[in-house]
Amino acid sequence: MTPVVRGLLWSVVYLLAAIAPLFFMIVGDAPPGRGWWTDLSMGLGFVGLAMLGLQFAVTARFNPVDAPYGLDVVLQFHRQISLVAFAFILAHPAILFVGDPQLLRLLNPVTATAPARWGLVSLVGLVVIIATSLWRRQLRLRYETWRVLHGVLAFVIVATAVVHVELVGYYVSGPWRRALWVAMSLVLLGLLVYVRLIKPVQLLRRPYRIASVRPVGAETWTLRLEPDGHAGVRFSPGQFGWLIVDRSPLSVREHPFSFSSSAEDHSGVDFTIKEAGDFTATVGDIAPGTRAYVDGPYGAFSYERNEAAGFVFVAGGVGITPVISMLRTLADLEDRRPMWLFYANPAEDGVIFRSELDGLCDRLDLRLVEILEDPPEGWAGEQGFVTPEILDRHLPERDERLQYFICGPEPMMAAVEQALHDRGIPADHVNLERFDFIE
Amino acid sequence: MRHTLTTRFVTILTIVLLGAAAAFAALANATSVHHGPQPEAPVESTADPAG
Repeated sequence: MTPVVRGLLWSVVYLLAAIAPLFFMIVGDAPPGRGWWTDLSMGLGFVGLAMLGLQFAVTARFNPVDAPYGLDVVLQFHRQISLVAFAFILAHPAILFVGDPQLLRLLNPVTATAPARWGLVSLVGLVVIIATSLWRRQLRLRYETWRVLHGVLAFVIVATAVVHVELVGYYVSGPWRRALWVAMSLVLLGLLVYVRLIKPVQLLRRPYRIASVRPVGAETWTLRLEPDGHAGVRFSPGQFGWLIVDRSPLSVREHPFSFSSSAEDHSGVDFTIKEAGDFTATVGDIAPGTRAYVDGPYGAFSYERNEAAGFVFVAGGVGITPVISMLRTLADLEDRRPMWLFYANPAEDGVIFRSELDGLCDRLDLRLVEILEDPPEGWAGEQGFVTPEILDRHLPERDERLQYFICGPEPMMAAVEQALHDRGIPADHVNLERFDFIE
Repeated sequence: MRHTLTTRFVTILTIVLLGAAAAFAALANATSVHHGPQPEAPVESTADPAG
């Protein structure tokens, strides 16, 4: 099955799961309707709740689900669809209030009925989770704090909404509807238990030890991890893992990084990390011997999943890390296919793996094009940003048989993607990896 | 490109889900008409639909 077919299949599964409650509500001896607008309000509430429950599945990091799209796209979907679910759930009481303004009294938690009170708690939780997710930086919430809050609120929102539906009871009565409703609630609970408990406990059995912490450039470090009592992780070059250092996998302090070592090196894995946030700023202080865990691999950004006659890599800054993993692996496999690497950085001191890239040019049929925004005097490479003109100067004209891999800052990726589109490169030959997909 | 496609997919999905909710509302009321008046049934509309 091709990734496109698998992607379509999962999209259909999502759609069916989101509207499943509507089927439950009209199956068998359905209760009488209460007017089109009231039932539209109910329908939107149920679909919105199903979408919120499905968010646990969307973010559960199931590789078969994520692989056809890439985790960055899955997380973009998670963010956008949560706003749609929010709108549906807001519309649920709003339609009722417009139809009967007296119902506005249900917004008062003191005088509201018990079902309305639970619904109100869910709604307030939803407002808080959306606000803290959209404006986390403006609210100065630390990433780890936000993740704990996000997980707790997600549970509270769905649980209180389920209680609200149970107490209203109108559409979940009758043995069939009851059974289907309970089954759906149990699946949601099961997903939560799997993500928050079973998966972390499985990781506990696969610890790593930090073997070394090496500086590889300005504010950039390579962590070497070696498996402790197990065979380690097998990944496709270009993939990434969630790294947990000096904490239990049950904690939420985990961060996604690309593997930078060769996939052919089975003695351990490397992560190359640039100091940028709360955790990454402390990477240089990690002591060798520290315990760590790796949840992964994830992602579809790999030449192994996109075989071609040759490869073009475009990396910006620390976006070089998945690319260096692919190049190291290809060199270990003595691959002789033609390759191009466009490596862009603001200035020369931001360049990492410089001498190793020269060595890789000897071991591979690799052409390295270095681009500096602010080059030093006498610079022989390209200057500025990665432009269509620079691509034209270095790439062959007939390049539709190649696969393209782009990783770097969002503006660079958008510009290169557009340039490749303008060159007539099919979209399924262009692979992107956002290293800042956690926002 | 993929992110633009994702946004388009979310837009289409939203329209389909809205349509499903509207169809449900129509069907629920059509079912109700089909069942005919149910004087013995509890008159739910007197209760708060939202709870």
